[in-house]
Amino acid sequence: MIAASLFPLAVGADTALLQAIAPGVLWVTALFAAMLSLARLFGPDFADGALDQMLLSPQSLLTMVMAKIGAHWLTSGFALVLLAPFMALQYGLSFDAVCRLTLALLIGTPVLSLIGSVGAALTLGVRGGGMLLAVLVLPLETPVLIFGANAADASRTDGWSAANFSLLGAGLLAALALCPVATAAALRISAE
Amino acid sequence: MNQDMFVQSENESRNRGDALLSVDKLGFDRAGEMLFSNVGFDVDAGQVLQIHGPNGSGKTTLLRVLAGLLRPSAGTIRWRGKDAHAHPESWRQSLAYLGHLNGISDELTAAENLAFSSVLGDVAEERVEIEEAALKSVGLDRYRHAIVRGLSQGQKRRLAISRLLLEHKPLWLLDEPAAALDEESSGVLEECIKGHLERGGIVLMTTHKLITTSPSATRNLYFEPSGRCSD
Repeated sequence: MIAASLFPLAVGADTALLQAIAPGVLWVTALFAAMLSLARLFGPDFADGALDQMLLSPQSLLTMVMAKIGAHWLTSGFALVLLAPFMALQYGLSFDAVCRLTLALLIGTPVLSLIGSVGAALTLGVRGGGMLLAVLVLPLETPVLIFGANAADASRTDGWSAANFSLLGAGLLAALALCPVATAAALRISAE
Repeated sequence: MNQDMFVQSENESRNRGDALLSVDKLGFDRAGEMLFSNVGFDVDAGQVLQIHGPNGSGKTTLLRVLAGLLRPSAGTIRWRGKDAHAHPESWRQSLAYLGHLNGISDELTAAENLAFSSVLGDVAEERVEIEEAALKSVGLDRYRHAIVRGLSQGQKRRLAISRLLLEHKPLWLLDEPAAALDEESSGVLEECIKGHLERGGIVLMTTHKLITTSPSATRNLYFEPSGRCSD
């Protein structure tokens, strides 16, 4: 967020340039915001043994994983969605472009949290897990970045934008269906 | 109410002519190396099994295997005559596990930690009262709203022990429960275990520090470094 607000200051007051890079910059910062907080998703619970208690609980692990991912999204992705319209002011985006950008972030950022949770669960307790996590998760999250930035790109036609929105939406549905199950399974493996 | 549950299960297992918890030929190997093998014991309601052995002999691993966190490479665990790992839901409903790690979060207060545990443990009714009673019985009621980070190691351990009290699970798996406890706290722990056994519960624990339990209800399991064990 801070990084995103520093870009306009560093790049200068060239409105056309700022408008062109705005979606890209916001998406990259969204990706980093999600990545940086991923280690905190299960790490503290793993370290103090609360994760063992969750695994042994009669409650559904899938529900707990969904809640964890939801909480991660609320504090990383959703925060950015709420702030995106204000950030856009700095980039001099039109109302239409702001709407597109916010919508793209709203659909895309949950995917970042969902995919990231699988990586976070897999790298639990691994030495140098942070680096491994980035290597594991970044390639999977890059498509989200590409579709998201393209969907919000105001210089393209509506059709192009709509196609990218569809791909983002498809990604979200697929991630919602697959990632929590994969994360739950990965947590059981990590506890061994 | 919980007492009834235990008594009923006791009768049930008697009818079958089977111990409540029966472990047979349990073995576990990690990366091809046998950690322990052929571990077997029967424990019935109201009994405690103390697991002795030097460091690294596999006591902790045995408890994690029993809890279902690790998969055994051989043998069976039967709970009320049913294979525990084949029915993980009912197994998890019956057991409470206290590991090396306390499983409590430093950032939360004592009361918040217990609230989290009772949600995990499916405690539905009179949650707050049960949580308060549990804190009181380990002597932490003054620290109800204290952030756990500020508590001493022994107090944290006591908080972890109080978690066992609120869930009312019949089977307790305790890994070095007396670690970091002073004499007074050990007394509290002994009281908790005694009460649990009187209600017809079962306790399996690993110990360095000896915890006194009534000899008639105590069974012992000795681990040797080689991975063999004897009753």
